Amino acid sequence: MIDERTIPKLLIQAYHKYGDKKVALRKKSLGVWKEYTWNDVYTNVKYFSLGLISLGFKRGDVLAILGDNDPEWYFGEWAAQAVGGIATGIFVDCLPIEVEYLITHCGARIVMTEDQEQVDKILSLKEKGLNVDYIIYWDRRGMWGYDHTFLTDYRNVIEMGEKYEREYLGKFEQLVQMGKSEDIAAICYTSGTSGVPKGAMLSHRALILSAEGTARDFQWGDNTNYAAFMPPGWILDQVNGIAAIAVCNNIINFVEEPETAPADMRELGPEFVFYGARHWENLASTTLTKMSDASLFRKFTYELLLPVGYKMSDFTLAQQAPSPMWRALWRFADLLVFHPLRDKLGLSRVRIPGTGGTYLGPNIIKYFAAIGLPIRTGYGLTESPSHCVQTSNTSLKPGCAGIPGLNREIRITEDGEILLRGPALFSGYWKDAEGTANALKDGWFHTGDAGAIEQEGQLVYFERVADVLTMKGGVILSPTFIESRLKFSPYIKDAMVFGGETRAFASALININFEVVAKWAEKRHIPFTSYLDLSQRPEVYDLIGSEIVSNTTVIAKEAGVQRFVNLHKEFDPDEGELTRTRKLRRKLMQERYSVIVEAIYEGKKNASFESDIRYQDGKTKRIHVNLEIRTIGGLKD
Amino acid sequence: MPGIGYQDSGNEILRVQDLQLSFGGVQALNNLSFKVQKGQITAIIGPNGSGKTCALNSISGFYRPQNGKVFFNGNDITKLQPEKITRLGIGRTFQNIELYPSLNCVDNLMVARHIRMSRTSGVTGFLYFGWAHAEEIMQREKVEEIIDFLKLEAVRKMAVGALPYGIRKRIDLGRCLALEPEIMLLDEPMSGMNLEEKEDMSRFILDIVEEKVPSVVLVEHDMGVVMDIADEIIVLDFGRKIAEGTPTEVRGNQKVIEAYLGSTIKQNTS
Repeated sequence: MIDERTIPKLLIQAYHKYGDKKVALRKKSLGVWKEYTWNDVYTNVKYFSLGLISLGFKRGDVLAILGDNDPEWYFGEWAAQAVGGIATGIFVDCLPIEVEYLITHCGARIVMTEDQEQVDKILSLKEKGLNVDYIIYWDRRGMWGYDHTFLTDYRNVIEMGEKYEREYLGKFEQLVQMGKSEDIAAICYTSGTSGVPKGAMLSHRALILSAEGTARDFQWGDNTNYAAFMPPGWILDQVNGIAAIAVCNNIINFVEEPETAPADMRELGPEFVFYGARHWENLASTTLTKMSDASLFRKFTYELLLPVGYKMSDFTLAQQAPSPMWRALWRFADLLVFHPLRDKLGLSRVRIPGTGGTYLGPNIIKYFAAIGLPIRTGYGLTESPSHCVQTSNTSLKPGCAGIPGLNREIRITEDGEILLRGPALFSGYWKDAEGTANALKDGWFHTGDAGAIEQEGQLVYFERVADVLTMKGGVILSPTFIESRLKFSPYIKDAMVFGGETRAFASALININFEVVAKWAEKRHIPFTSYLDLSQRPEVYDLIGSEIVSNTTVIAKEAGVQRFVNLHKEFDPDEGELTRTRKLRRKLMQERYSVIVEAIYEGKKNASFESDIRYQDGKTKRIHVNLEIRTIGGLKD
Repeated sequence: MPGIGYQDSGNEILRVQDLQLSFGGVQALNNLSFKVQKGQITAIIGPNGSGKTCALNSISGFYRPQNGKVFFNGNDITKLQPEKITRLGIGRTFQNIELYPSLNCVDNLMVARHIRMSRTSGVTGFLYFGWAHAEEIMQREKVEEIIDFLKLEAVRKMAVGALPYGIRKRIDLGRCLALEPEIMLLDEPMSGMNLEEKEDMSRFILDIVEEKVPSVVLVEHDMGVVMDIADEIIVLDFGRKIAEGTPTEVRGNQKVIEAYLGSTIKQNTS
């Protein structure tokens, strides 16, 4: 049977099945959860898509959407897809220059934006010549002073759609029926760790099959609560949010504001969470920091019972049954410490915690397993799309990404590159035939990631092939692995590890975690003024040095970090150092900080560094700093 | 009822007439007169101790001026109690943030709704009986609109005392909004804030004027902010009005430049 399912077709089926009887979306607004039934979803998608047609949108056109998670975001994407169009999401924190690139590249003539801030961004680009016909916003606040004819409210477009429906009755259903499963539903821009972002074209089939994978792997039913607060333009939300609700008819919850997410999650008590690796790392370091500030009794019980958790996690990860004594001890520890802790994190009802995005260190996985959250890792790319291998309850093993999912084939080339095949793959890169030809050969997608397949069929993911380093003595060094270990320290927010064939040891640039280190310094009466000043205090260097040593004990000495520098500022996506999903852009960083890295390997004690820094308002300033280089481990100065 | 000397000029919401206020030998306000038009941001500026806050306190009834009158919508309010003045529709914020530190943000705003509660008496409210429940929901909705407007969602349930200064300033502004006043008197809403917080606050004030409360009297030190957002500026020095006009007019005024750039210091020291 030919699979002709599209996301809008599935949504309409769900509407006929549930109508007003079942909630589809929930949005926290004015402090209460506002519900949207399937009927509301249908009316919004129908009239918005007809409104888009009134504005000149047609089959094959691209609708760019720029905003945080909101029902209107989802309605916009579904509406574009319903009339055979394509949606592409842009991250809200993108700088105007990035927005300009993405809109120009995807060729969208209608842009949907959330609020005044994003409208201003597009308006300023339009003044400079960006080719956009209409801007539609859905949050009215602050929009009273604008009177451009090309600027319109979401509700106006809905009204236009209602008018269109009166003139062309049944047009919407007709257009939806014309959709084919190989039609492109969305363009997802890759995070661009290796150059400019590429637009992966995802068909309805790819999204639906991937969502079915999620539903199967995580046992989703029609009552599963999904909390949408990852950027909707990211592949994770495209599959687990936009596409999965069409497949599972589950409930999507939108938090009130990004800042209220922790409190809203606690109210929701979802059974399933899928956080990026960064998010789990942050949660771990926040928990460790808060525990160090807790009352003596709490600290005592936590430290006393945490080893029980670790012991139990050893049993879980090794798939052994714990003895009754350990089980009883765990119950006690869970009651007293771990359950309240999970509750504070808003994860008390979570059955399946998942992760993706980038590599998550084994020590973080072990820590969460110890407090009763056995995180399932996965491996996936925008092009795959989403996770294509996934650990299950029976295959949890730190370091392993899991076994290939339904409809997925996986192969490792002789030089260790991971290749993927299956019906759920992307359809190529948007306007980039050469890129497509390089990535898709004979149906196999060349991921550019290094990995291996273990005896049990589990995929072990190393990292981007280009990022793996061979050291002078021939030792292979995995920067991601070491960085992830370093980031387990609550005092280290971010790190980048350097090495190479001409270099005998590894070195690191460290971002201290300002809040935590500042608190630590206050307790010890260490005076400081700014981030730069604090990061260069000798006491802070001592602290970070000992943290590096204690967190990298498992790493071979030749591959361990022996010299490091506390950087004067945090890595910043606005300066292009990180992608919008907070992954390191290594090539750019290697060039930008080459002066410091050379000084490290020349054996100098200080590195003098000059650079431009960009403030949030777009102003730049040239600064000159002198940074200490510290030696640790067995290396002699 | 209009007082002596009152002239109705249509668009005027507040009029201060020959206000005299002294503390012992110190003359805080000296024959101060000015008008505030509806739909405008009127800023009162001046060096430290020039009487800006005294003027606000005299309007809102916290100080009793020895002479002069204050008219609100044509009515003499000079002798009224602060609580009565608030009920009439004059809301204010405080320079030093006078919130209830142990109450959370919602409760601090709900306190302001008290003057708008009409259906519940003290007894039914205490017993949570009759209209009390419906009234509570109605008032809470209003408060939630303000929380949304001022982007306070993340601190909704937090005790105010533990919050950062900039946020507390915003809650103070929110409480004033919750009174649903016709005119707001803002006493140094930007003091102690960093640049980003000041930008946010300016945006909030502009939005308030457009969407909620059409008239604002702003006492502020930050000249940049005042010049950017005010429609009218009144400049005080030693309790006297030394200049009045649009930002452009005031900027070039010689007396103002002197007051700010040091001739007052010379007077003091000589």
